[in-house]
Amino acid sequence: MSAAARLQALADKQAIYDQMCRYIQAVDRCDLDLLKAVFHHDGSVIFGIFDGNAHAFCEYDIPFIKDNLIWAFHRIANVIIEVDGERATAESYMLGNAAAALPDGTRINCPDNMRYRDVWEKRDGVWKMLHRDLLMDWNACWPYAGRSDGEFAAYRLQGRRDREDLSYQAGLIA
Amino acid sequence: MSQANNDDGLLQLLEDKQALRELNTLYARAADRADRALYDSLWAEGAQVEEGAFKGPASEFAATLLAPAGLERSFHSVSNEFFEVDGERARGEIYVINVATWNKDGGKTDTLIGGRYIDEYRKSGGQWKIARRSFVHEWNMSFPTTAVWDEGLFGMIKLRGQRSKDDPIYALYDGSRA
Repeated sequence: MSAAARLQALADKQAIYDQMCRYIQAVDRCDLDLLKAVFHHDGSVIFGIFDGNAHAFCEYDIPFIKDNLIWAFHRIANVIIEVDGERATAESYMLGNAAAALPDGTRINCPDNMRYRDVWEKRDGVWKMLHRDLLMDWNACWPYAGRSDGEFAAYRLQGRRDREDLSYQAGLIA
Repeated sequence: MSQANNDDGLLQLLEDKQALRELNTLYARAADRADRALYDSLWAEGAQVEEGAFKGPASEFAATLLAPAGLERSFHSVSNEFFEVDGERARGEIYVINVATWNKDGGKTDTLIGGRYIDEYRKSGGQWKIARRSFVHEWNMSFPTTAVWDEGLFGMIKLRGQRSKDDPIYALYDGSRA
């Protein structure tokens, strides 16, 4: 393989990894436009909470998150990508932390371990998802144990679900 | 780092580190999907493992990792993959948290184990393999299982991980190494 082709292979995987992080930014900041931007318009998802067109999923998912999760924080790991020209398949592990309220108002911490199973396609030089499935491997429901008193009161920088979040202020999200 | 003294060496180093990250991810897949064929493809000849009570050849460690009594599911998430490459050999340190659900002694328990893999790797036939792996335990937690599978938000998610080729990921991959 030529040096140029080897470099392109590295760049393609890096570009897909960056988009995977974009997806998490969008979900955790509840940024609908950013979320749509990582899917092709004709993409699709199977998430259980929503199966169908990817952009319709985005429209459904952001209000769903706001309505159901008090806060959410997702990490990805174990990213593995196989590129074949303008198409790629990928698996990534997702480690979620979230707080939710039960119907009776009781708050819980509900960590989850899931995986994303993706098909990516490069169009006009940009990698976006053509398909994403959500696979569940584990979850837990623990009594809510977050605090905002004492030493925790000192954290004046707090993650937000709007453009006031520091990631926007720092120019990391347009 | 001697090989990174020119453009080709730099490209090779990036490819090597990427291949080593993928090797570690495939190890997690082999463990979590109980995939013996994939597991066997990850080790250099004569590879040695030390983890917990086990110390010996990787071929014998397969039973401990892939089919321990009472294991219902596992999720080996790896991060902080750090490698030093020297030609056809490399060393690495990998952070791992394994979340597992056990069904034994009449109840279900979730264990979270955090630690590091301290590894030696060898490249043979153009493919990186694990030559020695030592798991260093850092911390653990155990909780009664509280997973929800059939109700609420989690109940809506119908695709579930399997410890077999029935896992949905095998619709995308044939399970062999690329």
